[in-house]
Amino acid sequence: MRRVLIAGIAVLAFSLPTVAQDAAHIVAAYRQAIGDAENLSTLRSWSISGKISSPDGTWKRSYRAWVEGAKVRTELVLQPGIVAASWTDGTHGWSIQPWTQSLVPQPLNQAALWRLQVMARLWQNDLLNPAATLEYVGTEEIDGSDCHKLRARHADGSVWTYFLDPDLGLLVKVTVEASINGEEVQWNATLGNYQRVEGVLLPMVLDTSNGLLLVERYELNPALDAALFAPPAK
Amino acid sequence: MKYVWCTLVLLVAIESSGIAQQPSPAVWGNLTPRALGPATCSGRITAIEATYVPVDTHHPNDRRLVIYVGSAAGGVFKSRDGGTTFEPIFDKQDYQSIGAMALDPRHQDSVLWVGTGESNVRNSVSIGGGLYRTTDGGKTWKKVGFDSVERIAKIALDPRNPDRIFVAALGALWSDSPHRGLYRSTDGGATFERVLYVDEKTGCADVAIDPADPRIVYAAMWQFRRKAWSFSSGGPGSGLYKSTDGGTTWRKLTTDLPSGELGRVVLAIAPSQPEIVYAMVEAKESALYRTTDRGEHWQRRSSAVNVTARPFYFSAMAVDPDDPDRVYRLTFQLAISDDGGKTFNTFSYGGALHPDHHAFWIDPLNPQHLLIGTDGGVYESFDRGQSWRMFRNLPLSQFYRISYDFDDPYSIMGGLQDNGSWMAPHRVRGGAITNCEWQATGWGDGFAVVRDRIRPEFIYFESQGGDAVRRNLRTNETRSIQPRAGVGQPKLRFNWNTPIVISSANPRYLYIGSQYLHRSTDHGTTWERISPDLTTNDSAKYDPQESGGVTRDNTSAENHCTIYTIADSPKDERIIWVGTDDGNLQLTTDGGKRWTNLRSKLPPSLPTGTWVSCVEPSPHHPGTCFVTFDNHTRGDMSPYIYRTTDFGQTWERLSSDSIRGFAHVVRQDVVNPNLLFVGTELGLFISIDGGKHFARFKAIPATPVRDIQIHPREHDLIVATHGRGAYILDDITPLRALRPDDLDSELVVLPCRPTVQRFESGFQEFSGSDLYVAPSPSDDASIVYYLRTRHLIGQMKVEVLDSAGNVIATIPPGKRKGINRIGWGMRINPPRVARSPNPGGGSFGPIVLPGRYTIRITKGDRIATTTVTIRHDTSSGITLAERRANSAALLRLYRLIEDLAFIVERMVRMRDSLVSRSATVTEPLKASMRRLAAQLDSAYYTLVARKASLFADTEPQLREKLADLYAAVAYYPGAPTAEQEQLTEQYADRIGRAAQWLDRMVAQELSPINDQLHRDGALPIPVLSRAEFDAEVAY
Repeated sequence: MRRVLIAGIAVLAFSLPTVAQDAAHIVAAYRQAIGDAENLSTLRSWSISGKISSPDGTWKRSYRAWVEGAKVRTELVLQPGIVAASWTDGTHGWSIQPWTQSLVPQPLNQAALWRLQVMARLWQNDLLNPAATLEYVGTEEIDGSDCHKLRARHADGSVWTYFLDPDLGLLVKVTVEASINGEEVQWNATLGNYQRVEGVLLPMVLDTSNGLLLVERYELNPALDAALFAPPAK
Repeated sequence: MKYVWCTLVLLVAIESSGIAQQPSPAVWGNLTPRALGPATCSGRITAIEATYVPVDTHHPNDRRLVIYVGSAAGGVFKSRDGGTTFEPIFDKQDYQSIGAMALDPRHQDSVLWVGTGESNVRNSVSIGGGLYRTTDGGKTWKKVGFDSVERIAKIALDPRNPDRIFVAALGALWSDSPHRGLYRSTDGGATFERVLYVDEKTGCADVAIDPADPRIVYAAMWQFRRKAWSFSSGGPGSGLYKSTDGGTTWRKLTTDLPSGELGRVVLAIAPSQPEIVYAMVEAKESALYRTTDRGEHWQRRSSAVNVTARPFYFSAMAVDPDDPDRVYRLTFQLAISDDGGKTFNTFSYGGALHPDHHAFWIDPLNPQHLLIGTDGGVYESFDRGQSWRMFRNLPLSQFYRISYDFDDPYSIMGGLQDNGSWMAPHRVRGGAITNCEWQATGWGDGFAVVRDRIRPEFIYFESQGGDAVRRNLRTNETRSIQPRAGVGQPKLRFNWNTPIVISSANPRYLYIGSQYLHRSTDHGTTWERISPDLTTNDSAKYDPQESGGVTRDNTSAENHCTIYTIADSPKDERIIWVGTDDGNLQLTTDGGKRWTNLRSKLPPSLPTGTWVSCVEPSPHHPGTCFVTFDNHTRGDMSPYIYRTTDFGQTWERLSSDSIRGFAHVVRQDVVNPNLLFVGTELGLFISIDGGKHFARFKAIPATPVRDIQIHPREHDLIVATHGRGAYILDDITPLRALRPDDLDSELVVLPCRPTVQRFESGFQEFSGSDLYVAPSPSDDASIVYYLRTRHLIGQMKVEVLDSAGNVIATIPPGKRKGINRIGWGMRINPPRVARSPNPGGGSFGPIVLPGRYTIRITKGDRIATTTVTIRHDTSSGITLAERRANSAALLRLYRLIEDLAFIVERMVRMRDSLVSRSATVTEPLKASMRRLAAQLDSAYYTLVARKASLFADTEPQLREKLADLYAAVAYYPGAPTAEQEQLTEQYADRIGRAAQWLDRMVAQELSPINDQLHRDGALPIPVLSRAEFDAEVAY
């Protein structure tokens, strides 16, 4: 009975819409939900490995990502010896697209570079160290359940919206909107299968605008070779 | 605190009692119907707003035309590209009937006001319930208020101070309402006050602000009322008003205007010379009037029919932005005047432009450029109306009724408001359902359309008032088959939306209802009257000749005391239920010999005389029938849904707690008697507990659902909306299996219909972006399960196992609350391919053979299993034996591809190791290692192409040839050709020889090298084994 009462009080504390919400409370709940948020927010680098999958799972390819600040590199193994890569040194970006049957790096266009940078910010758990003020903008139903909605308007004009599960406190979805050369672009990621990694809950499945990513391993604060992010040799 | 304590107690009670959950809309999860349209004929448009929006700050001169389209009952659509593509932006709101829209002149790129509730108040018009505003171009909406106002006719913003907003609240159509009048906000919509009010019968139909002097405001007040059997436009409440103090005080304008009772007044100010105002005044002698002194004096102008026609339905007029004498009046056709309204040219467009016009936009930068909204969609002209092109990508069609046939693929068919009758296949072999798949079968306003099951070349359709026609689909001959009254017999009364029904128990019987029930057994050629007058036969309610009020209007829309719904029992053809629009519910159990009026048996919760909108005899029990009643024509929007289980002697009202909108239709599932579907004016609702609880199916917007069918062979739910066309929810088997108790379970696996494997190729087509395309049903095998809550923490996966228990596929699961439907492409993983500069070479796995496969769902520590059944497509012309032969050949090639991949990987790793290690050794070992590496390198390029090239042929080697053969065998599911089999053997032989050669190299060339390395104390060159290769993660 006591457990039920406690559960009831917890439900009252976090449920919608009985308690007035603000961004600080929701972020605090998020920090508590994921665990060792302090450690997570001080990380300088990340390494992620897993698979990119087709929606029905019958096509999968190995995927790796390395992130350090605004520097990112992603690699997708199409076949043994054939690797598609995109990377940025934080300012400019390049890609190798073997399906064009060329392995010569090409500069990334603005939209592709933007998507890469958005991905980097998400990996580094932008919600813990938001680069813009978070605003509580109510609730919205995501996949059948109402979620808290936080919004951040960044200096570059992009608008980030975070959807958090009111019961578990975890991040469920992120949408990012921006205007690039007059085109309205949007990037989404739905997060799931959270598992504890070095004391924190991290999503092992990310259904993103870049594809369905099944994470197999996180490395937190790895030492990363600067060559990963370096501009291609001329 | 008291509230908190009560909530806690409630929580504890729920925790301990185990009460089953009531379904919420979230239960239906990601079940998503396909929106088939048609968009080719679109539907009624009620408002258009458009503006040029800067693209970005870097290109200040670049502009894009953004168009907002408001529809009769399909919400708001937005185009960001001048109409090439549209997207719905209002679907989540509670009402989809749009009365008016207005852009904020300060923020034309982002701020749009939308008033719900159409003001073209025809008999079938939908309802609204509020004023909405978006400040981000339609991404999000806020309801500002006006919940009690059924219709908003106009929104006008002060061009100089857009925080001053006027809202013309027309109000309720079918009843008195105290919520009518003209409202004003002076604080950007934060608050509104009513500034002009006449009475509960008179609404505000139009408002216009003088752009040069916004203190001057004109308002048209209109007294109107519709009943089920009549319409009345006009009365003492109607009048034209003017304010000179920004809307605070008002003066009725009468000078030079018609005396006597007025009807509706339509206003338009000349933007370039605002002292000139046009008013189309409905009166005993309706005419266009023009003032040149801001309404103080008026001159009578044209009274041509195409200027004055049907004011209740045609309420739009506009003046050219630059030329005050150029006037556009929208009625049946677009009437254009260049002389200040004295004369109008009426173009005849030869069928290019749908008649009946309601919304208009003139490009302020180029007045030759026009957009017009009609009963049949939006059209665009670049030559001021001489020619038009249609936006064929707005699926706003308005079905009244829908049915299906038994072709394979089956077709759906139905009639549309002012857009005739149409049919389309529910899927297209190898393709999607585009506009060209829709075939017109009838004309006029369309209603019932049914296909003859005995002679399927016959299709029956009708236009308004029961004008039934039989079309031969093979020859396209048509024949009128409407029953006629004999000499001396009473005139037959047919409803606007007359029921035509083929018996569900005996397909020989074709029924049509006037006030009598008529039956034909010769495909409509002759009719037998099998009932007396089944209506109340109240002569006061069936003389629509004088209907219309100030302007007489009789198009059969007000025909009353008629039969509206007919259905016989699937269990017994002699049991026939008939409902009438005046509240009679009639039953015969002997095929029409004797009839019982059950009106007196209906419970007191149902207002007497309520329109019977649907009778649905149960497919499970002959005495059971579900009936919906619709009392909205008396201002009562409540849903009335009843069930009898004793041939109508007693009735039970089904729950309406979660149902919004008056009810049009109820259907009982043909398999699970507890699965019910209800369509109302505001959406689709589903019950899984026999009607104790309903939950809205939100994947369809809150648009009127006029009809619902369940295809008994395919188990699809077919939904006819009166605003967004037809929807099909493929395979409702999971809904049939979901029980109320399941809602409390964390994970419940639900069954699906067997999946028929299809191998239909697509087509090449490059048709631009402006086509409306509805997908065919997914060819994937469905896996369906229910989750009580969102899965967020811990592992969840879905695996497919073959009959031997091997996992052959792992599918990313859906993790949402409610029902999750995911697809499996029925393929095993692709083969590993040989390392090569060329991508490709086998990027997909073979499709599995028909059979039963086990599905294992793991959610944390819970595991649930089910099976999916995959069936052979017997219509494909390929036998199952041929499929097996194909599968065997494909799997053989699959293994050969992997064999080659192993040989190449072994070869390449050995080569690379030899090259790198040779740098660390001395002669003669170095030379031996380099020689062997060179031999391996040469051999490698006999197996794979040396270069990658996108645009030129490479020199295909074994890898590429094998991949080509694999693809060729895979793309045709029948037996491989003799040539393919021969090639397979040849390639297998080459692979075998390559393997042998490599083994020989290892034994004869590498072994001495490794021996020497060993003697030198170095590690040997590793040789990849097959077991190691197979154990490695593929890619």
